[in-house]
Amino acid sequence: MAYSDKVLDHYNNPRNVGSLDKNSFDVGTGMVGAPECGDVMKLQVKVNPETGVIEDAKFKTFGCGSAIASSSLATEWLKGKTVEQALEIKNTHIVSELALPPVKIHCSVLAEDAIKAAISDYKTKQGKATSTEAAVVA
Amino acid sequence: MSTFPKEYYAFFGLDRKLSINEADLQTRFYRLSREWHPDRFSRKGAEAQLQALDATAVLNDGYRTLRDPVRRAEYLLTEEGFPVAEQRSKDVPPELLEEVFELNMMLEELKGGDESARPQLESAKENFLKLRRDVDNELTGLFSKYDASDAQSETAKQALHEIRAVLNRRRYIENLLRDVDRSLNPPAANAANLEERL
Amino acid sequence: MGTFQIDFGEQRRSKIVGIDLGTTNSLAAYMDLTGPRIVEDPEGRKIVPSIVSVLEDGKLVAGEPARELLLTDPERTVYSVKRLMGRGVSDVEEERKLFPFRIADDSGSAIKLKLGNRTLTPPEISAAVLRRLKDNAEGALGAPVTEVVITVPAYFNDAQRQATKDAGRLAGLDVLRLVNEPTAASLAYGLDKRKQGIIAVYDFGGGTFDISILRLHDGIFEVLATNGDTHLGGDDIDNLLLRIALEDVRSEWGVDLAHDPEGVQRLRRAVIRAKEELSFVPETLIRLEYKAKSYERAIDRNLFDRLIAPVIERTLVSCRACLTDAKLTPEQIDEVVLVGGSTRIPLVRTAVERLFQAKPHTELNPDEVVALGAAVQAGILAGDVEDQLLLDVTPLSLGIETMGGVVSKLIHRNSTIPASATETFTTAVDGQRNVLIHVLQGERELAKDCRSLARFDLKDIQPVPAGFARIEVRFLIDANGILNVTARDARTGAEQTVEVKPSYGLSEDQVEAMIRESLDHAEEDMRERQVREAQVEADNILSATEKAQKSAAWIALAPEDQAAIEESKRELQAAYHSNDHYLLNQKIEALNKATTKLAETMMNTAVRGALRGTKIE
Repeated sequence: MAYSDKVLDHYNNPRNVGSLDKNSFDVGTGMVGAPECGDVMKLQVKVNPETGVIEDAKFKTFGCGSAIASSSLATEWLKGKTVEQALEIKNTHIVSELALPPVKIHCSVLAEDAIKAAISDYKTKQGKATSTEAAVVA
Repeated sequence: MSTFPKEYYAFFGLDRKLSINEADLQTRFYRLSREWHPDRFSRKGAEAQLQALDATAVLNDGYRTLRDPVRRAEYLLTEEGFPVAEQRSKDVPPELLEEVFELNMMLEELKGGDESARPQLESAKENFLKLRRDVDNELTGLFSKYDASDAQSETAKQALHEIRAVLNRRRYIENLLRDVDRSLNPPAANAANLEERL
Repeated sequence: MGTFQIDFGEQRRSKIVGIDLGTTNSLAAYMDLTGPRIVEDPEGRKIVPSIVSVLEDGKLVAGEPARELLLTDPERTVYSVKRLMGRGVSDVEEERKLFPFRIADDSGSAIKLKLGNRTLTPPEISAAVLRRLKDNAEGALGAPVTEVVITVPAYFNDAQRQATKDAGRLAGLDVLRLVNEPTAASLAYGLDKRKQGIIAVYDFGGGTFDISILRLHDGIFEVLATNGDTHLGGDDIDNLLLRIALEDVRSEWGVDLAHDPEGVQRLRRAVIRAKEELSFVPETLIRLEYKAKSYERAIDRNLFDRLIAPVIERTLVSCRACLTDAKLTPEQIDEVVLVGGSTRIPLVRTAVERLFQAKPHTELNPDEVVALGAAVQAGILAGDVEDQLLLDVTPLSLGIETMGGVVSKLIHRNSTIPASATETFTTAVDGQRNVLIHVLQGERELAKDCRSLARFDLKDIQPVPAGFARIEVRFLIDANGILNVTARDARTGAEQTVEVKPSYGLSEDQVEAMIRESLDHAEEDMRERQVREAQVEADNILSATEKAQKSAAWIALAPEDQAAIEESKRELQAAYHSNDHYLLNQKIEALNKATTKLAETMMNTAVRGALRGTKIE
């Protein structure tokens, strides 16, 4: 077979569907879309500010099954990784992990973009938080 | 045997305009079919047949593309260097993503509900239809703007840029419409499905 | 032969024959000066039953003799094999419950049937029917037949079409075109006389149902939409009646005939007769005399109608879906055409008339209309019919499997064919050399719910980091509705090798092996036939040459060209009785070549004459 049962499983039973409190200071939110397919994906990470480790990840994707399967897998992977490790995740890793058939290019970047956006959002929040803290200390 | 252009507008002998007269397009399609269809070349050797096959594929694909305003616009955008494929998230304004996400969330809640949610689903559909009408009106205006300007001008480029953004939005609305339709009428029982159930 | 024959307008070219390869019956037809005409066998019969039997010596017989053997030798005889074309063992479970197919244990993606001492695939069995039709056509035309048009149900998928084409090749035929049955029927009706309009063709045959909606425009027959069911036909109605009769016999005789192949076949004949009679009389009997016992049951149209109503409703569901796809309402249909033996059933006619609100055309014999249409299409291909052109569609969407087992559609159903789509893929792993593309046909969203067509292995991709490769794959559905896949590396422009692994049916290698095998099997017959064919061709070219030698063009020809022609003629005459068709064909080819210039000159003279308005003999 060209792809593992794992893929179908991620499609039929996507993990980590849901949302985290987007106003919380330790949550980063990424909202991305693939306009060619009309997909939209929200991916959130909850990071331990002490260790920089991602403790939880949730997503909600509206669009084709491929996008759902890859965001499901991406969130599984994120958990337990540091923010820096997470940034190294490339879409192609996701794909090869899934042992998938051909990759349609326009569909392939969604999860990767979402991770980047979520982490960047988290960092922005932390940056703000850190500077406020610093101000208090000073 | 002559060669044929691979570009759709050129194949049909049309100017690259976004507004097209459909009756004229159909007449051209029939005339070109008579000229290029593989049936006309079945005894003219393998090479001629292959060429007829290729040419007719371009002709048929072109007809499908040009007679549909949205596909036509997407095609012209790609030809003019504004590819519709391989767009990334950054090509979509965040407000649109937020809006679409919210609409989807709302729709999903309604879909989870029982039959009593039907009126709400129907009004959601009305809303999506209205959004699409607005988008289509916007497109019509932009088509005229493009057609009236010189293809190389800044105005034309600006129009194409705007068209691409509107088309992206339209695709999201189409998906919402498709979803709401599916909730309102579960997949039509076509013969194949029926067979499966029997 | 090409140039030479085309130039001699009145010289008879080999005819392209149209063939309706049906579930129950098959027919061949050709164009003569008055229009399409059905081929008759030496006994004057038009219909060749699609039944094949394996004789003691392993030889195959098809048609009427096989129909007789179906009763006496059911174990070595098979019918309705069209139901198995292009299918795998796993998807004929239903068929096996209702039909006495003896499927060989070693059947894989292609079904094999055990018949007597042989194991045969459905295309090989269909090839026997085609060979019979070819023989009949050659007898009727007095010339070899090598080029054919074969009709298929409009709703046939790629594998079923490919299997039909394979059958043609196995019968030694060059299948110039596969035409959809309902579309062929519309050609036969000559409906183009009305110039413009919308036509619905309702085709309910022995094993398949199709509905096609066409727009007519000055001789162009443009199919707008098609729908159907490749496993719904008169057979299903027979089986409904048969079930009742078997139940009766079991309770009356205390015997289960289902396990008695001959008994079942006799009972099947009895119910078919009753079914056919009910189209003309309100009441009849199912009657069987077998092994000194007799069974009789009265059946009236009322009961019959109630029994078959669900079957007919299924056809109407397809019709409504087709209307939706064509974006039409029933009132917009100008004319309705009925095709297929099952449309003789009064309930079918009423149901169709009610749905489309139009009185259906039934002027042509529903058994013959498809073959007649195939002959018209053959005429179009031969260039004899110039004003008509058929623009058909692909019945099913074509897609590829993408992430999550989801199908991404590339060519939508009801797209006019030839149709193509190009998609660019990349690789997932650094240095990846292969990409496997799984192609499917169907309307459902998940790959597992669609029909797997084949896996295309794109090989020898330039090793580059993951995500960098750009492989452009072109999917092309040709005018036969058959898929072709080509691929190229968009960065280098190099063509990629594509290896096709069909999911069902025979691979190219298997077909070729079978052709070789069949050659071994009937080598003697084959040689005889080939010699005969070559001789007919030699006759044609010799007489054409002799005629040309009396023309002005001959005199205008350079002496050395004249000498070359004379020499080639002599050599061909010498080879005529050699019994060596290779030699004969070689000499024909040589004469053909030698006369090219002569033919050209004649052509030019004729054209000049025509321009001046004079006639050249």
